[in-house]
Amino acid sequence: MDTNADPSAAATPQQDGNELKALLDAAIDGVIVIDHAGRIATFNAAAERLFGYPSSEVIGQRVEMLMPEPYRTGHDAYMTSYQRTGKARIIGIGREVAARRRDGTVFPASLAVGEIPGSVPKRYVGFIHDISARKAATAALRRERDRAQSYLDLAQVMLVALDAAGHITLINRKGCEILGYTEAELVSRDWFEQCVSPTHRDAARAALRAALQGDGRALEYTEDEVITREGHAKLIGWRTTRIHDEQGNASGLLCSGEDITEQRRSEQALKRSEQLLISAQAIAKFGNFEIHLPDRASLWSQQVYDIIGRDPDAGPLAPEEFAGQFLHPDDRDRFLHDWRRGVAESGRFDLEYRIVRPDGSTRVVHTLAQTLPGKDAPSLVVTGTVHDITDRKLAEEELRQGQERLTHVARLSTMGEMATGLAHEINQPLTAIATYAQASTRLMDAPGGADPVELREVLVQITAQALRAGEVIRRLRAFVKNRAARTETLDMNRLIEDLRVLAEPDARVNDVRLTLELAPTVPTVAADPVQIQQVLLNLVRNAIDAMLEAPGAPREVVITTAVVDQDVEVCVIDRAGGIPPEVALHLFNPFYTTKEAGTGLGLAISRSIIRAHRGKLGHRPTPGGGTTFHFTLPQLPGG
Amino acid sequence: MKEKPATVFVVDDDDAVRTSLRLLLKSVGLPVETFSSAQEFLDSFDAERAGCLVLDIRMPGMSGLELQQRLNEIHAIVPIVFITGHGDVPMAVEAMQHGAVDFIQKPFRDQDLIDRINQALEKDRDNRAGLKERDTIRRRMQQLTPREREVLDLVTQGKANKVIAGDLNVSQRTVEIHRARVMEKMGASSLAHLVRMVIEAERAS
Amino acid sequence: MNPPPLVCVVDPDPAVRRRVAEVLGALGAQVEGYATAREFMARLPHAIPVCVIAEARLPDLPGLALLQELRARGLALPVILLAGDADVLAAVTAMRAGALDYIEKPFIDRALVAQVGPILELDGKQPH
Repeated sequence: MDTNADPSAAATPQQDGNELKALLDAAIDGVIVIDHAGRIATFNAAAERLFGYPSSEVIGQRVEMLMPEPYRTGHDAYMTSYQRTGKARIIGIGREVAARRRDGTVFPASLAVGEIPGSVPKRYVGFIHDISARKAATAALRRERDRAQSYLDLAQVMLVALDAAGHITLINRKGCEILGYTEAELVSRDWFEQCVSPTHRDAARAALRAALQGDGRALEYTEDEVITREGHAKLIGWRTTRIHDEQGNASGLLCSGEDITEQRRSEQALKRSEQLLISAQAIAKFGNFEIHLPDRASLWSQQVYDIIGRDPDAGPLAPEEFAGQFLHPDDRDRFLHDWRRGVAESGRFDLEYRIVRPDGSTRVVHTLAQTLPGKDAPSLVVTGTVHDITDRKLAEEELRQGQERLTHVARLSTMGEMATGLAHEINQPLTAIATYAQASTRLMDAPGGADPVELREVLVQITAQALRAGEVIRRLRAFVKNRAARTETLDMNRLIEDLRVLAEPDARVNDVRLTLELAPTVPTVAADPVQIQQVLLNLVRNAIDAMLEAPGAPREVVITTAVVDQDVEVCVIDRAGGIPPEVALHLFNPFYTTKEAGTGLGLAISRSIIRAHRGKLGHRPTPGGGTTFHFTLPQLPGG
Repeated sequence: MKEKPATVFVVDDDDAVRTSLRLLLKSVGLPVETFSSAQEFLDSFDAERAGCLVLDIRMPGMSGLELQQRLNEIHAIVPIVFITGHGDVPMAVEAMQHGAVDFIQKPFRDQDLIDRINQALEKDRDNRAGLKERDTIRRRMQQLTPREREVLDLVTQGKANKVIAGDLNVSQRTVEIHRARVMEKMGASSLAHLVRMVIEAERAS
Repeated sequence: MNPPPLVCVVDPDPAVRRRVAEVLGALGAQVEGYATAREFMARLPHAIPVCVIAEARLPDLPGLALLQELRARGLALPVILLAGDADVLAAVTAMRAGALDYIEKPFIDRALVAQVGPILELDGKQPH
């Protein structure tokens, strides 16, 4: 609209005014002109309809009357600011605003405002129209889409729509869940780049092309892997349909997929375990039997004959005959006793026994049996399995021996670390003995000879010192001997007192004081004394080593005993530098060591020893610095 | 003043070793005193007492090597024979570098230990005699007049009487008289003896 | 300027001679190596080293005997003995005979620097 009319034009101002009014009233948009003070100068017919005011009611009024709060209050300041700074928020821009009708209702409107060029003082013209309908339509559309999406999201299958180029145009929540991405991370991305493993990409793209070109096979059920955000492969069962555009051309694919990873895995596991069972049965030497009582009629499966080495043609044997012919003599009486008791008690029972096969070989057999009532009253049926567990027993024995060997090696290694101290402990009495003996010789050689009383006293001393050295050696031997584990009833206080002979020399040569702070009495525990000593010595050694690493630390190791929650707790306390977190992490790992000459077995084996005794071994910082290693042993019932 | 006889001081934390050593040394007529720790010995240490130290290396608290170091710090001259149950080479070398007479491993032949102890006692005697001689020489030197002292210095520098006379601006005869007095006061039998005495006196104690 | 001080190392193992030359060369010594005591003694009349470093078990003459031979010739040279399998008695005997040090192989660097360093320093201060 050009208000800067050419002055040479023939029309009169009056004519111009009428024409302009007609023009404005014909406009669909509301047209409102305001002056620099914000007073309404022009209000066209559309504006009258829009706001419900006749123009007479608004002309000369301030334009704020057409605005709801809070725009109303801000407008004046806005006008002032614009006129001073030229900074516009609406003028020349146009935006969506809220407008207020005469009846007070508020409606959404689109407003474009311009400054009328050349007007002095400034005048502004605004074009406004009601956008309620458009807003409503948009909202309805969004609701519709959201509802569709929520249907998709409710589906417990993954739904993915791809366009012809393979970009993701839609994906539901389940799909996002399976793939581990958010919707925003997937939509409009290339499906194949994002979710298909590189090795499958080309084939998958080819399948997309084939499906779009109407290849029916490409639309059949397929199973294919997807790669999740975490990089895991998941197996998906896919069903696919084509999406068509308005022209009826295939414009993409809608794919529904189901995560069948777990299902397939369990199917495979099932298949594997079936196969395992078959092969296990073949090699496990597992037989079964049935015996009817009281007539002792027996039925054996083929494997029973195989296990005991009897010709199947010779037929089954009644339990007593079986025991007589096949049982290892040492196990025979026990077998018969247990069998009779098991049958008499009418329940499940199991037996482990050795048999001697006709070829002279010995096998260990396990039988699990069950007694069931027979057809008529006092009769019974005993059914059961016969399992040759010789190999398992051997393996167990081998494992046990291996563990014992390892424990022994660790013990030797601990002892090796203590060797200096122990050598000293033996050398001292030897020195005293040699010196006493040499002195005695000199006394006897002296003129007048030795005083028999004095000599006797020396011999007593020599004996005491020889016994002292012998004691160290005896304990040392008991400690380093390779021996089978055996459980004894122990008083931990006594054990620790005894340990002193071995532990103290090592402490002394390292200038460390070993202090015992034992509870007055502790309940007895069931434990292997040598193994518990091994744990204690190992902990004391570690404490001494820790002190050597921390030169300023108080050189004292304290061993305490206490009763904690029915258990006997033993602590080995040092005041050295403590354990750095990165070391603590690996402390109990086998072969982890911070010592130059360490094997890294000490703590790992100590922990397994304590565990084997149903106790716990752990460590915590000593209050005021250092480390406290503690272990518990459960007290004996009534201990 | 009658001096105490030279004593063998035994320091070992092991009761049996200590007692047996006391018996052994007694059997060869050596006075013995025993101590169960280095600190105990140090507490009762008297630099004036003649003798030697039989010292265990590894003891709780102050070790034998630490005691040796402490004694060196106070310029104690008591000779040390180390005895040890499990000494290693660096330990032995260190002990010897710091002036030990010997470093003997336990158990030992009695004769070896007794020989070493006798050597140590002899060394102590020599040390003490040396100290005593030095004291005597110093005392005598203090009795010289300033002029005699000047003559002594020049004589021991190897200067001839004539040169000394020139240096001191006196007659050669005067120098000869001073020199004779110096020889007499110092108790020197020859020029060489005099020089030795001056060197001895100037040695740091 | 003084010529660099001479240090002689007598050891049949060329690796040891090389190591000593490296360590003491870095301190400013001129190091001459000999495989046997005989070769070293042949050199001796022509140059007097400030220090001798000898293996305790030389093939022709034990290091201790070499030390005693030097003393017999009136040479109060500092002698350091090196030992592959050292024992306390040998070490003490060597120290009693007047060895400056008795160093266990193979970790000889630090002890060499500690003992020979001051000798070289002292030598540098003395007029020749």
